[in-house]
Amino acid sequence: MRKHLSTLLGMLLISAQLLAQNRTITGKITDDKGAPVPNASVIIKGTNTGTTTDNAGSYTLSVPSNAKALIISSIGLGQKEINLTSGNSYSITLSAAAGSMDEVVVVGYQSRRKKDEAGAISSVRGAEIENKPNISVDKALQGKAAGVLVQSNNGIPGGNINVRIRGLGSFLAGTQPLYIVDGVQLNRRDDASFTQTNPLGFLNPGDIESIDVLKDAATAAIYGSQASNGVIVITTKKGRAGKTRFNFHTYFGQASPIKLFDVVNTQEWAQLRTEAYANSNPTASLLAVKQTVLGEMRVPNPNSYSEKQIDSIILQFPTYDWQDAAFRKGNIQNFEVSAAGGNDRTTFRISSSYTKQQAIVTKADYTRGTLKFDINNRATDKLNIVTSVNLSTANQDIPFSTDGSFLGSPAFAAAGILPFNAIYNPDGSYFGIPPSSLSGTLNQNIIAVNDFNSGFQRTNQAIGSLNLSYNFTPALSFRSLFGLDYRIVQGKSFRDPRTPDAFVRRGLGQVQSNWNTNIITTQTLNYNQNFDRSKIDALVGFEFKKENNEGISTSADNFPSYQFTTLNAAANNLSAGEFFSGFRREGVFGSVTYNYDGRYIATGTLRYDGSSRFGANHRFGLFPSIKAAWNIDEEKFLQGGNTVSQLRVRASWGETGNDQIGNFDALGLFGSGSLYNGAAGINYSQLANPELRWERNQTTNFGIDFALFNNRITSSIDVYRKFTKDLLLSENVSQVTGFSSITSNLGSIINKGIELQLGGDVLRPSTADGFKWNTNFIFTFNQNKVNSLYRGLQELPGDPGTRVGRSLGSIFTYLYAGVNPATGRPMWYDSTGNLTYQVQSRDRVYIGDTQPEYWGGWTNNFNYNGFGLEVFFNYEYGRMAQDGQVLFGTENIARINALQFIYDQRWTTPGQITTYPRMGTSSAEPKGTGAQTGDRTWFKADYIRLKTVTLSYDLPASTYKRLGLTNTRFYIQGTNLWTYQDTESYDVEFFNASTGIIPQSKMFTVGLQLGF
Amino acid sequence: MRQQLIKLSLLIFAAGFFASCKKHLDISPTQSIESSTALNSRDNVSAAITGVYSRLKSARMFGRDLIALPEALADNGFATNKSGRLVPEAQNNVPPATGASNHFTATIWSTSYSAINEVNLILSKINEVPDATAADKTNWEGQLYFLRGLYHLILVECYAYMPGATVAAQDKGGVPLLLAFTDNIDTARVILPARAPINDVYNQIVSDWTVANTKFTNASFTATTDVSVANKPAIQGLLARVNLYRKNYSEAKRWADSCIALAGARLTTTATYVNNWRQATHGETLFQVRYASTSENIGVNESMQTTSTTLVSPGGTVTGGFGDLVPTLTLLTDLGITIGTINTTTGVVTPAHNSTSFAASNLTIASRSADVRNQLYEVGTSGRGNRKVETTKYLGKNGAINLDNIPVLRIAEVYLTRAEAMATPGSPVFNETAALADLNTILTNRGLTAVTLVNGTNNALYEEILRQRRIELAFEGHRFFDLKRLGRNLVKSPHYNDVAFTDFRILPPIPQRETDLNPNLKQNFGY
Repeated sequence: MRKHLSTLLGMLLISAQLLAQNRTITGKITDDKGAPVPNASVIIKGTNTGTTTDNAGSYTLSVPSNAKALIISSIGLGQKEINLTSGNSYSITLSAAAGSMDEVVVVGYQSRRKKDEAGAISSVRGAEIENKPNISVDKALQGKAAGVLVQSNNGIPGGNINVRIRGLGSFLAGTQPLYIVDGVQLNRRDDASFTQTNPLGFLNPGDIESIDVLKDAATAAIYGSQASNGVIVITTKKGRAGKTRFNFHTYFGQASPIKLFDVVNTQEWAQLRTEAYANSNPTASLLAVKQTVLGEMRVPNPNSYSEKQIDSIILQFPTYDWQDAAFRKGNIQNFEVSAAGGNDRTTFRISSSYTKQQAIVTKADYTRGTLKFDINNRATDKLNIVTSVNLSTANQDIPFSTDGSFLGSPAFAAAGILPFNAIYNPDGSYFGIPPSSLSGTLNQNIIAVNDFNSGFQRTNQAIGSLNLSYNFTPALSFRSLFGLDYRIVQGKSFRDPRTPDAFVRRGLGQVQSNWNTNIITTQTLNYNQNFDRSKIDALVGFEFKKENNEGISTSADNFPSYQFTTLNAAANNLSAGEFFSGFRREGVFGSVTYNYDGRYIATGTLRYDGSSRFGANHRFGLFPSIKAAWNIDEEKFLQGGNTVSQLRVRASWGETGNDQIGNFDALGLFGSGSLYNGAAGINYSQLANPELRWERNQTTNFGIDFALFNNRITSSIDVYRKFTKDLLLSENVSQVTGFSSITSNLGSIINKGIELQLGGDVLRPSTADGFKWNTNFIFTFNQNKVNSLYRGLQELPGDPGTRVGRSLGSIFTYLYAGVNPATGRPMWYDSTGNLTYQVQSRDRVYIGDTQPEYWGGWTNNFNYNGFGLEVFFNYEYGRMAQDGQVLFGTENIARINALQFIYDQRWTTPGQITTYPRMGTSSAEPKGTGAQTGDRTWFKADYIRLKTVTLSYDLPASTYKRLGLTNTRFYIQGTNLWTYQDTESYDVEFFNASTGIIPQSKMFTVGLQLGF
Repeated sequence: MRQQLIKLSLLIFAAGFFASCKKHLDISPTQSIESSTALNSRDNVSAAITGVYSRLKSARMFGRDLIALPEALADNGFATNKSGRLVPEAQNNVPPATGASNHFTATIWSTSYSAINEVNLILSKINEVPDATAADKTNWEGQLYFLRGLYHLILVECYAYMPGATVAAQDKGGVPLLLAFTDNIDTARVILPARAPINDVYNQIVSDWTVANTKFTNASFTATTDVSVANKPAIQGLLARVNLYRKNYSEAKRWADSCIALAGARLTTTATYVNNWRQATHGETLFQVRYASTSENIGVNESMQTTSTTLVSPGGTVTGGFGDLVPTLTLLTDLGITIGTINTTTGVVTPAHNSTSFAASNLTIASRSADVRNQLYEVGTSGRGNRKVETTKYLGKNGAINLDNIPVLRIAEVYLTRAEAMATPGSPVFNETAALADLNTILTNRGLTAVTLVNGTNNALYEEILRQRRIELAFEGHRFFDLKRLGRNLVKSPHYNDVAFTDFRILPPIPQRETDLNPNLKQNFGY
């Protein structure tokens, strides 16, 4: 075997070319602002011979007489090719316009020019996402990359973000993409008990150089496992040789609520409540009803008042604005400083940042510090060492809850507390705290509860990698990567004994610690050889990844007083918990790319991957892919003209796998954790499925990239069909077996879609300082369809939202028919189309689904003489949603405060045509269905949002140079400024029932960037 | 060059070796063990039996639903709408076919069958446990047959008509009987049983409990016997109950005799009755579902305490729970409680009192009869809205709020069962004198005086026994099943519309996912 390998490698090495008859060429590389670009690479086209620029951006290179062109590139600034003529000096400006084919993209353990890559890749440059008050980078991708859907389920600073690439491709297995930061595959777990944490929160967006989103399976297939949902490759900024450069960046700002609910006042509420009682008790006198309402308002001896007296008492009640008390303006601040430099052997970059974001609802303030080191050392001409370490600590104050209908949660209860409840007593102390309470269902003084409770969630994360590369020959190199993603999430929650939930138990303390250790190693052998007109780019490697996830938690109650919050002060230990979980994954892979004359490019990859999550005999899967591109603009017949400056077509097919299920889903298990009679029990929790195997995703992709009129218009269009088979699904079995379901590979899903990126210079000035207008439009269309289920089933038993021929997450519900004008009772249509008061399950119909059909973004950049204005919109269309917060506010029972339009539009008089039923003490009328049933609870969540507007000013070079600076920028920015939406929600962007979530906020920031 | 190539080759070799070593993918859970070898030790079998018991604690089982729903669905419970819970149940709203709400939920189905499967699996492994003694095996069998009968009873009393009280046109049978275990997916996919006839299910329950009864000796029951697990009088008392359910009165009497002989002395007196409801374990208990530690607390939303009262201590003013389900006016009347007039101006008094709202903040109890049982009912706080008269049977009596053991069988029930078996017209063991004696045993131990009743033309004795059963066992999860086994209508006025026994809402739907998956399983009528 060894002999064969040696022979093979020997054969590969023979092809190195011999050079002769050299001449010397010099030049200087500058960026589009005229600043020198150190450490740019200058390579003779068709060879591996080259050099790098010095601190002044200058280079000197000896080239053979037969060399035709130089390829000059720098990370982040892309690549340019210059044809060599008889001259010996070539100075060029490198600038990377978004979407340029010369940009370098990072794909599957390699990086290459976009022009040499045949896959479907969206790239976002660091400059597009920096300066925005986003805590994590995933949020910053919203509307920036075609095919990428970014949604939040919460506006809590540092909260989790839901990212989907090309639709929902799995049922049971995860739908989140794979994130790779400088070669380290990140875990996507959110292990926080008391709030949400975002696993990408460790990374300061200011440290990002570029993001490449690998969308088609052919490109992602080299990552085999876990690549089913696409891959997001993040490359961080690195140092460059030259004088050490410092960069300082800061911004300050304020967050405020996008909107608050318009709720009724005390008198209107009393009216609603009176109607509710009167309607539900037709025999009762109005006086009795009013006395009851007065009693609810805690007026002593309500029965001693007459109707007239009651009316005048109620009129004197004030209205308290609980939303105003609960929501506030939050401060935002951010500081970043970095230093980068080095010499021709060693370069470095050090950066540090501090961010603080106050949420618009307390307590959810987020503070983060990061520290990042990157050191790059060329130890010998053959050995290169790249290390990167990113340390971060993030602390979040914990809210009462991140979501849900909790009485003590300000985000949930603020709009619903009955408005006659005071917030403070006249002496300034809190009103209605235990042993007293507020009146009504929402009986907790949320301001007091929030003030008294305390706790934090802290995430400390270390992500680092060591990357060794050794060049055996110019063509053959070996790379070895060792990566670590270590995270410890700690939390503490103290429910204060002065708050209702902990009053009788005299305080409740809970603590949590969770460790997550991810280790990855990747070993690759790379072979890059240029022949006369063609180029071979090959790679083989293997990878091993291991994740261990461990945690402990404990809780106690009965504290001496509120001043004692540590658990050892508590009298009663409630619980102690410990858990462990983990998985292993390993794979071998190979890839060969053949590039003929820059015109024809073809790549084939193969990965053989194993995951510990599958049945013993089905752990390994083979994932092949092929892709090809034709750079038509390189053909002779298109040379010379200016109309078509770029034109290429791409095609790919590939298969990827998905193993994002529970770590032990394939095993038959007796689980611990049950208790009875003072003893610990075990339960038969899971049936084994030894046949459990990879979910497979086959994507066919066709793409076209073109640029017209000297790159004035640039565009990429991709059409894809993503077929997911062996779908990981909970296969329901009859519960008479003792089990509900088995995790199985059954069924299939198809996602089909179109992605469009269209951009260009609307106005292109003749001078550098002239007025420039650049625009970039992103559009995605995706259609999702369940293609098959199992055993011929047309819908999942008990889950009609999953039906063959329909989108995942289809909504199957009742059709609301409005209010009977005569009685005010809500009505629905039954299965025969007749009106009914009481619906049955057979009356349900499909009304839509919860996945958007179209989405994207639109960026406009205007530049004039140092001034820049960026206007960015994003949009979504075709999704339906439910908002739990609105549902509570639109109840017809007035147990909590109602939204104003309910008051205005409710049924009160016979003959009145309206959709809002009469009030009652129960949501359901006798022999009627609950009023909040059916399609009236769903709304179209379409929106267009003016996401950010940034006005910036760059000092002219002459000015900043005089000040000893290398660049200076001031900017002012607004986020979430305007939204077109047709819903009552706090925020339309959310994708789950947003009960009790902290809404997103409107933000204004001002910033300053200095380079010296 | 050559050296480099050698190094490189070695590296590749190492890499290949690394990749082919499948052991790298081995990882085992630590909170679970492999099911195939789980039941191979004494400790694990004991733990597995503990696991079967633990399923009884769920809020969908005895934690709340099996106790609160029989009150709400029938005529004992009025839903106050303070948290919104149990309103649809009290209104007898049509449950969705999915069985998700408004009635006994689908979770009762899934939990019970999971437990029965565990019982069957453990029964099959008992003889393979190397370190178990013969005494262990006998005890385990006693526990397991007891549990299998109990879970089958829960299923059949919830999802099917009861023997001798069916609506023939709507009767779709009992529930599937599960007597074998499933331990692999191939079996799981093909188990698609039909509903066994109602009588077959009851026969199987009687058969399981009869076996269980033989596994315990009379001497095994003492004053300190743990009533949180199977024991001899518990099995016999339940056999009396289930025979009463299936109208086998002589067997009901026989088992009641036997049970009372063993444990009759547990009946509390007028002096000790209330106090016993303040103890973790009521002295009359023969079987209870126990919540031993604070970590088993069901919590402020669904525990029996929060369900039944706003109070945290007798006569207290601090608001704890919601008090979602309170006695109806008819129950208050039976309990001998009169409510104070609340509205002098309008004269709106008791009728509307516990109807949707009309209890003002100054609600009082005007008078009580001598019946000591009504001491367990008092006016709650106004912390969750208008005050109501609430039961204090569940008051965090295990020492923490919302932590209450749930009595499943008390000796008082066995006396009433025996009385009913002997007073039911047409009973083969009909004996009015003996029945009256049992009735008077209850009355005199509850602060009331002995009565002299015979059935006569209006079944006076029989009806009084049923009325005492309602009072004695109120808020203990009996009322709906008692009306259902007698084929009686649910008289819910003045609070709600009455529900006739022939109404399909007497039965919940079989969970729709089950009928979707299993063509042999007939859905209940009307769903």
